[in-house]
Amino acid sequence: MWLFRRLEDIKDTDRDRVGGKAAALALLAKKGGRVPPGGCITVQAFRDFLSFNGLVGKIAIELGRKELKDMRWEEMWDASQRIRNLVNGGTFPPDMLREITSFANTLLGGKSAAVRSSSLSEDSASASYAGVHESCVDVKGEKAVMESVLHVWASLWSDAALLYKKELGFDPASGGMAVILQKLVRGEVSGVVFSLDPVRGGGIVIEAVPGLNKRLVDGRTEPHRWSVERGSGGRISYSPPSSSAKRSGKKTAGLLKAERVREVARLALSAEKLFRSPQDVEWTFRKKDLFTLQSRPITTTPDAGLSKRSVFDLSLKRSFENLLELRRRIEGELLPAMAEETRRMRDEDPDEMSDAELAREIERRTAVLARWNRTYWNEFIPYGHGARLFGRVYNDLVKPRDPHEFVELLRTGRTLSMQRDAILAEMSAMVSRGKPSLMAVRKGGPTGAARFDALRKRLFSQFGMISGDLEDHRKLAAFLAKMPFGPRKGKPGGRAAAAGLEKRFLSRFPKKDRRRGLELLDLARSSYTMRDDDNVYLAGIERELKKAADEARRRKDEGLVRGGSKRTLSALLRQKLVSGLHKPPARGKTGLARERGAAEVRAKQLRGQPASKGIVRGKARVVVDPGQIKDLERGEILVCDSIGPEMTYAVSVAGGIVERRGGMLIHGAIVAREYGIPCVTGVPDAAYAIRTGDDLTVDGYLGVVTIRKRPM
Amino acid sequence: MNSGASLSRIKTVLKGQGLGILATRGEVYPYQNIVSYSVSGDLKTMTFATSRASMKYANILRCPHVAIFVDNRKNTEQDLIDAVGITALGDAKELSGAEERRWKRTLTARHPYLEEFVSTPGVALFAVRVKVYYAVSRFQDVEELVMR
Repeated sequence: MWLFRRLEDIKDTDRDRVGGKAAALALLAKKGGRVPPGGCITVQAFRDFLSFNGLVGKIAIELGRKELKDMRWEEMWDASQRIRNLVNGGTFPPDMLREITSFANTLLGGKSAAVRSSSLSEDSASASYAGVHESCVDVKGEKAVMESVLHVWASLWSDAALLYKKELGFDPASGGMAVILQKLVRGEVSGVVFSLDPVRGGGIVIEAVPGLNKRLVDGRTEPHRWSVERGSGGRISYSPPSSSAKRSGKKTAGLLKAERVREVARLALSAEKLFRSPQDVEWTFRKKDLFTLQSRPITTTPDAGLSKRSVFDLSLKRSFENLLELRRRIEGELLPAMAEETRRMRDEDPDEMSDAELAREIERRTAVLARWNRTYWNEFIPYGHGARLFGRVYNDLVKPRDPHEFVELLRTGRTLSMQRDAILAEMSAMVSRGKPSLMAVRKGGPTGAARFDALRKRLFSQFGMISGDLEDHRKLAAFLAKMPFGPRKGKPGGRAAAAGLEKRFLSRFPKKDRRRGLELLDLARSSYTMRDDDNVYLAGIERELKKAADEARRRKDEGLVRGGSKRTLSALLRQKLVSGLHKPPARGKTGLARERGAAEVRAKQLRGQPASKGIVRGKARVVVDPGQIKDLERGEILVCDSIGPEMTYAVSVAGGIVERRGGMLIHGAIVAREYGIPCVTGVPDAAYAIRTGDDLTVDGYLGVVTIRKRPM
Repeated sequence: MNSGASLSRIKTVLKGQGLGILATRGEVYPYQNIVSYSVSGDLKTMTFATSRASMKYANILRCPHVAIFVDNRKNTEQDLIDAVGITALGDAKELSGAEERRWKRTLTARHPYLEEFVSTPGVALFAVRVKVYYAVSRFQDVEELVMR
């Protein structure tokens, strides 16, 4: 079995060995196309590498943690990082290394390379997998080339590839990856041409950017665009990028003259003829020569076959520049606006409003919450990608054994919930000393302990937790009585360890680039902290809407509202957003079917993702309705669908956490790590298979939850 | 996890395999052998035969608590995810009379090559009344099927 083949030696029958892209390039070259010289590292080499490093079983374990259909995108991202780390940590069998480097050195002669994916399923007629696998451009030096080969191999299981496999119902372990190694052609203008407009159909579409097309492919640069009628001498229309639309049309159109536009269009049509289907061709002009970099079939649109949710998930991956812009907006505009909005609502007491005023206020607050919910999904959630981006850079540079080691670097201990919990811990310590007494706290009003009263006031003004309601004071007293005294801390030595990791990370940058490393780390820390803080801000707005809705419900239940106001209030309370504030969340879509009289299979050990290290044993407390969080006793294992913003204040008393929602960087996992609480996320049946009172062991290293005993 | 699917998976493995590992209690250490077994439709009973001169026979007489392990691995790395391992825990009882004849038919229907062996006077037929099954799949997912 051969491990390497030059492009000119690849035959039509070699597709199963070299993948779709390499086979297409070889055919293009054979038919006279101008293709940069290169060769292909075959699928056999990929398989030999996996076997040589014992990775087949390890990857199977990663992919088998959970059925792909039950995985959220965040979990796929985590799994893909773990696999990427496994592959990056492997070593090449000596013979393979010799063969590839010998070819690469002869081909490149010290110049840059392009290292591209060519998977077995890629570029077939049914699935193009465009942009799903990795390609590395402008790679220089033997070490960097070989590292790029590893990155391309690992991208067989990229988050996007797993998402595609999930939606198309493919086995996640299936497939194979070949790698194309080519001499980099440093063109002056590069781009993509579609022989058939993938959106509207009809004409040919050309997109181009100055220089290499990497910035076009990864969406960092908006391209110049031409539409060309099919057939010789077809009419050309030009659209400049929006950023340069106001500039002179002559200058921007000059990126490609009409004659060159037609040459690119002809290239697309000849590729279409050769492959007998509409093609999406990457090209570059170096001086007068037009090179074909790759050609693949246009299936439909780039997101073909993906659900709306998957398209959204993939849109979460943002560039560093985009994240910096999001940060500026979130920290400079959105958070202050949310705080101001919450403060204004807090100042308007629903108890003092007439029925008609209350109805108007509920309507207004509902609209406010809807608006901030949209902002949360469109801006805060994508900002969370900052931590992921950092994780990828950290892992590629540092190559740690633990692919989630980078998370230790992001913990700041300064999240808003930690600040709030520090206040609660101080109040709890005061109550434990009897100053003030629990009785005084329960009654509300001044307790005689000035510091305590000041802290309580802060809970209200900063976090909106305590209103004048006596019930709130009773709940506070009950909570303070069971809270551990003093804030919980993360694992010992956390700060020193993080400082060591930071040093290690920065040392991987050349001195002149260290500033960029620091900027990335700073952005990631802010992004990580925001995954908790945004929940606190949003909870503040939800709380104010709930307050108004509770007042309306009280008046209705007590028969205090009549006529038109009654109908209006009832209709407002039925609105999805308002009624949702009182409804328990779903327990998860699956569950153990209870078959009366039939033998019953019950979970004994459940597997999820390790999200916060440590092992703990304790009694389960299943929380289905966020209101049940008040029942959580110190040391119990909190089992829930997800940790909502209204639950985080109580989390510090939990001995361990088990969540249905999965991911290393989801809100619950972040809270758990900040407190050093063992946590397993992504357990599909958590809130159903486990019952309150079950004796559990939570292994936050392996991501395993064992039900040791169930109460009779 | 779906109870119906889990039950069907356990049945498929137990019915699909014919050989299992029987663990008995020795004087000091556990003792294990490969045995040919059959399992009843309701999964409550597993049967196997052994020579009365064997060590496992002596062990069972001393202590009837046994475990039988059955799995469907194919000896590949993919087994880590694809294979299911099932442990049945229960009490073994030597059969006689009509009961012995009935279960002998079940065992030899599953393993026709044992016909001569089980008819030998020195061979005892055991029925294990299963109390619980533990099924391990996907490397670390564990389910429990308690028999009532």
